[in-house]
Amino acid sequence: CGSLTPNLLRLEKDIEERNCPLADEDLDAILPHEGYRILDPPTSYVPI
Amino acid sequence: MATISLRKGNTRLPPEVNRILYVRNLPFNISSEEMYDIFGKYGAIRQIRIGTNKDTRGTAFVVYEDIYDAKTAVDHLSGFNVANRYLIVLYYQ
Repeated sequence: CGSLTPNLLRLEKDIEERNCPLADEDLDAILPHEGYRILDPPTSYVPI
Repeated sequence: MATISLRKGNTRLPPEVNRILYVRNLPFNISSEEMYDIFGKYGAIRQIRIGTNKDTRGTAFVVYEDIYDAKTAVDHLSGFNVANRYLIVLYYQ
């Protein structure tokens, strides 16, 4: 199934691009400031 | 041959799917613990911004680290009942 490889490679690349790490500055550029507050994660929060 | 580690299947994600979710119809006094509890179940959360003035109250932006987790959250949380309010969860465009 050689034809699958290019598609999988393209898909992997697409996902990598859409999953690139978002710095705070990136978020500030995308999300509104006016009328919004950044929530501090609760001390008990453990990312899964 | 590089091993291609495709998590959660190799389905192609539609263009509108992204890691930032816009949530509406939240209770006004929802706490950080509740927000992280509801949204944290689907994956690591990068950031949450909650509305604070009369126009933005009841809305929030929830940013996930991973795009698949954001998709899972939308699939599960649309219509989720919080304090008798049905959540509206959309991809932020």
